[in-house]
Amino acid sequence: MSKDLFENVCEEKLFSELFKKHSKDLHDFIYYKYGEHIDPKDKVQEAFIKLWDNCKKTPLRKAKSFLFTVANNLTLNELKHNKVKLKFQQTDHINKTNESPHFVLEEKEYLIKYQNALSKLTEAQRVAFLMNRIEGKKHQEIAGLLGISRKAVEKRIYGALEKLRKEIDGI
Amino acid sequence: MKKKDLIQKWLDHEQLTSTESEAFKNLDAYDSYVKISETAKKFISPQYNVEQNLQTLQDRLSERQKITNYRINFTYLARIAAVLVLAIGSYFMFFNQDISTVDTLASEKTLINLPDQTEVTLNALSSITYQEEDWDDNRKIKLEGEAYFKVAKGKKFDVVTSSGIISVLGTQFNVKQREGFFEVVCYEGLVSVTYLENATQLSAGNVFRVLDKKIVKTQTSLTKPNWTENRSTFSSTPYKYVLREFERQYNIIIISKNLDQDKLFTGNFVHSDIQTALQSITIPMLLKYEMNDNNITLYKQ
Repeated sequence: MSKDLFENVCEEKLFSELFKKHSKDLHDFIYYKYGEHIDPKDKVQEAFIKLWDNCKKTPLRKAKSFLFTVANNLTLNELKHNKVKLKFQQTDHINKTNESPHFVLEEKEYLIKYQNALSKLTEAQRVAFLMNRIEGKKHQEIAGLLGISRKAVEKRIYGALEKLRKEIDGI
Repeated sequence: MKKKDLIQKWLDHEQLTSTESEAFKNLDAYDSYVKISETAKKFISPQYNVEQNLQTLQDRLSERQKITNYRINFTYLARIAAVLVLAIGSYFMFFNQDISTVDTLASEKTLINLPDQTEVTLNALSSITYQEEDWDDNRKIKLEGEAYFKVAKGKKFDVVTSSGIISVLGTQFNVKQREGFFEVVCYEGLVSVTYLENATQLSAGNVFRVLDKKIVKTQTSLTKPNWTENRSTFSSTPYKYVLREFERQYNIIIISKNLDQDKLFTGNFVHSDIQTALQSITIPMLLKYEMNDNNITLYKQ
């Protein structure tokens, strides 16, 4: 077990480091889990403010889980399971000119289907899956971030993949 | 290798061996998997600028710091205010609660009506203190100096002086408590005088006097003290007490030269005319006086 070098995170420099290290992951976590309309950026800010308020009670090794739990709870307080809508980034399409209108249309339909399928995943599945696919994070990393076992992560991601396939392919 | 394990290995971004890769590609849903995996990337979270958000956070924190500081100051002030209110409140509640004090200056007399219609006439340079709260149940007066009481009927009535306590039920009496001199005169009814823990019953027309710690009991034929009619009367009183009383009534200073101040004096002086009054206290004692401003010098003829 690692010894606590930092009994608390009240040091401003340490706090900034924490922000640099975790804020993006936290932001993505909230985004994947709840979508954009709850303003993940703001949740990140609020979570860090809460951490600052409680900096004396929070040793460094607990800071990350504190942040994830607080951000999650803040979001849950704000919305009780609203339907999740992730926005697909359309930048890719615009540049492609060599695709037939038919293909573009199909692609668009596929994306809408995909979006619906994503929203039907459980939050846990979606978060793990998108972290894995978009961020290219390994199972072990995700397990660390979410504070769950690697086996659970594997199960969630695989489950998500199969569920998406069934939704999209209409099996 | 089982299909599930194979997919999970692929999902974990691990390099598949060539045979594994072959097997994966031969899966029915291979195309679907790849497409799903690729499409997922289109749902990438909005760009998140760490530095910029850190700046925002720091701004918010420092902004809030100011607010909290302000709030802390406010609560701090509120606490101080509350303590002050409590302190002042309890001061008035416990120490100043309806406590009334009446003082008289030299050559001044005043009449006070207590809540139960008891009348107190206060002679010059005297003071009474009493509590107006539950006066009817707790009739207690602190007296310094001289006062004449016409007590309304009711519960026990106490006059507390530094020399003794006078208790009555309803009567008229005069209390004089001056330095080295304590006198209670009962004009009506019955009073009880407690002096040095000895209680003495005093019926109408009797005088209880303590002069230099010696108790003297005499009588009086008066129905009320003369001083209430602007005249001070003395019977066999050491001359120094007469002079002190004279000073109080006229607000002057008497200087005496080679006088025996313990000589007894019987007589009176008026409060309205200083010349007449001086004559009435000097001629019987075979003295002469000289007056200048606020000083009167007495000397032997």
